[in-house]
Order: sequence, then C-alpha cells, then structure tokens
Amino acid sequence: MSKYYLSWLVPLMLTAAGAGLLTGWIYSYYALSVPMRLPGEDGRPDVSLPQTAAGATKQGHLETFDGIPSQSAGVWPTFRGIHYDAVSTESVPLMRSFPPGGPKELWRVSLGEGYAGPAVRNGRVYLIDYDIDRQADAIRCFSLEDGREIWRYSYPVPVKRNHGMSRTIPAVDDRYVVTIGPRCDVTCLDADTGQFRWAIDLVKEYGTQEPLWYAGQCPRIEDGKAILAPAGKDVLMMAVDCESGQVVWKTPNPRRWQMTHSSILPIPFEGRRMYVYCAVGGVVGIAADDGSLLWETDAWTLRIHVPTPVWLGDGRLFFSAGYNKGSMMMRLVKQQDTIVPEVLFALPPEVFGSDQQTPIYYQGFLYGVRPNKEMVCLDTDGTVRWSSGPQNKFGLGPYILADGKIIALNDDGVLSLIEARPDEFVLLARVKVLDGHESWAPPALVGGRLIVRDFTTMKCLDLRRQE
Amino acid sequence: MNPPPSELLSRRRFLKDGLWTVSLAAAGAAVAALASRSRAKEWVWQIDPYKCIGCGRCATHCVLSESAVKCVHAFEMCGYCDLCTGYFSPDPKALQTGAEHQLCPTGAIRRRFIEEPYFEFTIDESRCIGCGKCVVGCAAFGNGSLFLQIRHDRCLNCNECAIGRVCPSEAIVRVPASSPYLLKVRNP
Repeated sequence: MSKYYLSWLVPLMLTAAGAGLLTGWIYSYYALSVPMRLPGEDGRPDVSLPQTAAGATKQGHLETFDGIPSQSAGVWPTFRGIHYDAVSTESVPLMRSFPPGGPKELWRVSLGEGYAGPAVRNGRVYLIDYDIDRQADAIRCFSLEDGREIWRYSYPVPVKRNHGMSRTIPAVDDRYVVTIGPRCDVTCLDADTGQFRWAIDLVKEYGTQEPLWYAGQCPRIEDGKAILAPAGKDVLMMAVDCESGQVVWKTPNPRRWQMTHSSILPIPFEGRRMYVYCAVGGVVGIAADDGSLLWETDAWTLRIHVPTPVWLGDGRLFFSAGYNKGSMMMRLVKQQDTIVPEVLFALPPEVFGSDQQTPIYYQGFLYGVRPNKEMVCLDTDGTVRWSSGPQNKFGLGPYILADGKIIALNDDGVLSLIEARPDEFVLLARVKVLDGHESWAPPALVGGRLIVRDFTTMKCLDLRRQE
Repeated sequence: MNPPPSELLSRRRFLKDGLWTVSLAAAGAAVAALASRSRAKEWVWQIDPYKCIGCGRCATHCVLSESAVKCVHAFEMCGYCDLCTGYFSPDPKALQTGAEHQLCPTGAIRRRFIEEPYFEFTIDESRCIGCGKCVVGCAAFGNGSLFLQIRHDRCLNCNECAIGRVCPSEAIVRVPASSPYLLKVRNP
C-alpha cells in the first residue's frame, strides 16, 4: 500500500516543486519595463513660433575698409565652382607633398561661428558671415591677396547658435553677388562696391519653411539671373533678374514641397538647360529658360537632405544623403516630348551615402565620404573600387578636386592630398592646417590658393608646387 | 652514543631557522596578497568614448543581466537640436515624442522643450541598457555628446571584462580607480 502511494506521491511532489520553482523563476526574473511614449511629452508649444522677427524689414548698411582686390586671375564663383562639380578647371600644378609645417599660410581672418564657405572672383573673396555682436548677417568682401577686408554689408537678423550660424556660399558674377542667409534672406549686392541692389525675405514673401539648422541652399547666378528655390507655399523655384530684382519666372509648387539644405544643380540635357533640385517631397527638373516643370519624381526624398545631386552626363544623376538614406542613380530618358527619370540602382548607406558633402564625379568615377567616415571610389554602376579604410577617416569635412588630386579636410582641419585614381587609395600628404573644429565649409581654389575655414577662422593656403 | 654538543646546537638552530623561514614566508605571502588586492583596486575598466563605435555588444556581453554600461550625456557638447539624431530614428516622420519616431528601444532618453529652437535631452539610467544606438546616431551628424561609460556603482570589475573580450574597437581599457571615467569634452 505504502509503495503504491509512494509511486504516485513522489512524482506528484516533484512535479509540484518543479512548477513552483518555474513560476518563481518566471516572476522573479527582472525585466526592464518600457514605458508608453506618446506625442507631446516634450512640452513643445502647440503654435510654432515666428521664424523671423515680426515684421522685420532688414535695413542694411555698408562699411568700406582698406583692402584692395588682388590682380590674380581665377574664379570660384559659387558652391562647387565654375561647373558645379567641385573640380578645378585650372592647370596650376599643386604640391604632392607638404613642406614641414604644412603649406604656407598667406593670410587668415577671424569669422563668426559657422560653416559658410567662400566664393572668389576678380581678386575678391566673398563670404556671408554672422556678426553675433550686432545680431546681423554680414556679407563680407576680402582681398584675395592679403585677406584685408574691402567692404561689408550687414543687415539685422536674429540667429541663435544652432550648430553655428552661417551656412551658405555666395554666388558671384562680374556684376553681382547674391547670398542666402541662415534665415532665408536673399540679398543681391554690387560685386565691386557692395552697394545694395535688392533683397527678398523668402519666409515672409514666399512662405518658405525655414529648414532645421537654418538655410543651407547656396544661390546660383546664371545669365544675369539669380536662381533660387524658395519651395514655399506657391513657388518651388524662381529666377530673379539681378539688375532689377524683378522675378523673371516662377515654378508653381502645387505639392507644397519644402526647402532642403541641397542646392540647385544646373545641367544640360538634350540641348536644353535645366535646374535640378531636391526638395522635401521629391526631385524636380525645371527649364532654365521659362521655369516650366520638365520632370519630377518622388523616388528620392527625405526630410533632411544636404548634398546636391551630381551630374554624370548621358542623362545620369547621382543622389546621396545621410540619415540612413544611402544613394541612388537615376537616368533621365527623353520620351517624345516628356522627360522621364528612371531609377538605375540604389545603394544602402553601408555601400555609399553622404551625410553632408556632395560627392565628386571625375573621369568616370565617383569619389565621396560615406557614413562610416571613409572615403570611397565608386564605379558608375555602384561598385566600390576602393575605400580609404578605418585608418583614414574624413568625417563630415569637405573635398574638392584639382590637378588630379582630391583635396580633403576632415572635421578637425587636417588637410589630405589623395590621388584621384580608381585602382587604389593613395594618400600623398597630410597635415593639420586649421586649429579649430568642424571645418565643414566647402573650400575654394583659385590659382593654387586654397581658401579653407573651420568654425571661426578662414585661411588662405598656398598649394602651388614649388619648382 | 650521545651526539656531540655542537650537533645539538645545530639542530636547535635548524628548528629556529626553520621557524623564522616559515614566519617570513607567511609575512611575505600576506604582504603579497595585500599588495595584489591593492593593485586590483587601483585599476578599473572603462570605455574610451573616442574609440567606441556603438556596436551594441556592451548591452549583450556584460556578465550582469542588465549591463554595467550606461549612456552619458555631455551637455556642454550638445547642440540641443530639435532634430536630435541621437534621439530620433533616421528621417523620422515627425519631430515628436511618440515611440515610433525614437531610436532608443527602451525610451531612456527624455526630451524637453527649452525655447525655440532648443530641446534638452537627458538619460534615464534606470532604463538605459547600454545598446549604443543613440551614440551612433549622435556621432553620425551631431556633436557626439552622447557616449557610453561603465558605471562603477554597477561594474563587478571582473579580472577579464566580458565586454572587453569582444569589443571590436578595443575601446574597453583599464583606467586608474582614482579617475574611473573617461568623459568627452567640448572641442577647444
């Protein structure tokens, strides 16, 4: 009898004990409780605050100084140079190695905090700075020769420190200089004297939504017209006559696409000039002569778009961005009277994307810095030819190309010379040229003189090869 | 046959010397043990934030069930951005606090409006699992003000750190216990 009871009592007790232990283990196991996260927990005001001072009419004033324009030839007239490709057209031989201590510093200028880069024409260096003491955008003109200031046009605008203040690069032709300020203020001045010509407040007049971290779009001047992309309530893009300030044409914005940090890319296609622009919402191609919409696509869009598209010719456009977006190659195809953008391929960010700077297309290959900070060379089919490896990182710094070399800055002002060749990464020279941080402004190169800047200082360096 | 007196003395000396030897050895061992313990306390594990790549192994390889690694925020480096890339997932649909827009899997980062256009981000350490997702996001486009540190109120200071064994960037280093944290600082 007792054996009978034991035969089922023991397993029963063991089972009960096991169940108890299991229950105890489950309930005693520590699990992190994840709270419900709902909109509105940050206390953001319901009504968005005004983007500029209410009713601000920006009365500017001009100051002149003792700087004298250089007699040196050479032009870097806008963001990414003469052909909007960041490739210098000059044949000035550049050094392949740096002398001890780095290239000779020709001059330096202290600036307000930011990332605004220079444009150069007729011996003058143009830059839109921010004067924090006066709370004003300051369009400044320096001598290319010695960096002394020639004139300065300032207009009041409140700008809070938000990853610096200044952002963009002026566009300059033989008569006018046009700028877009951080709060979307467009200003046109006489390029020689700095005399005021006209101004447009894109927020106030066109309903532009000021991008996060302020406007990064660099203006263009083509054929005497300023080409701007307000991407406001009604106007996506427009051309403004530099002489009169009159709007020559406007492209409607029925989809209410918004302004990005990307700049307009002028390209030739099928015998017609067009302007390509990446807005929040999609990409458009606009006819340069009348502003008509030639094509549009929403195949490439994101909220924070910084790099400008790259034109490869043969109808191909290369788009890249950060924020895990990667890159995409499109081809424009003419079908009877319409232009159709076709996606050729897309690359994940691990293969290629660009957070901030625009890649360079040179002799059949693309060069750029992807999100892991390494520089890479890509085939036009998206195949990585080489990467600079983890020991050669470039961060968010800018790069241009001249004399067969990529001239690259990293975040901390270290300047590298790299051979622009597809078979291997060849670092020619490297030296620290800027003391500060966030040297992100795209440089200008004129007659072998490289103008670079970090957060607060602009320098002119002599990169000419010494015979 | 009795041994000569010199041999008796020699045996006594032997015992005496032996006792001294044992005593000295014990004292030496005690000193060595104390020195060893003292040396162990002089060094602790820490993450070099400039080497860390935010791979996520700190969250999964620590011997503690909830990692000793937590996110730290250097406020002086922070940009206080509306679109904080350490807080929001890439290209978020909206800049608000809904979970679907956030990068942190446990909601350990709290966001608070200060004034246009600034937002403050603070770490709730009780929720942080040290996964490093915010660190990667912040470093990608921000100032790198979010970074990971081994918290010494939690770390067991194992002789062989389980995270250090698998850290791909060799960011786990020994630091003096007198200055146990490697904090990021604002660029000059």
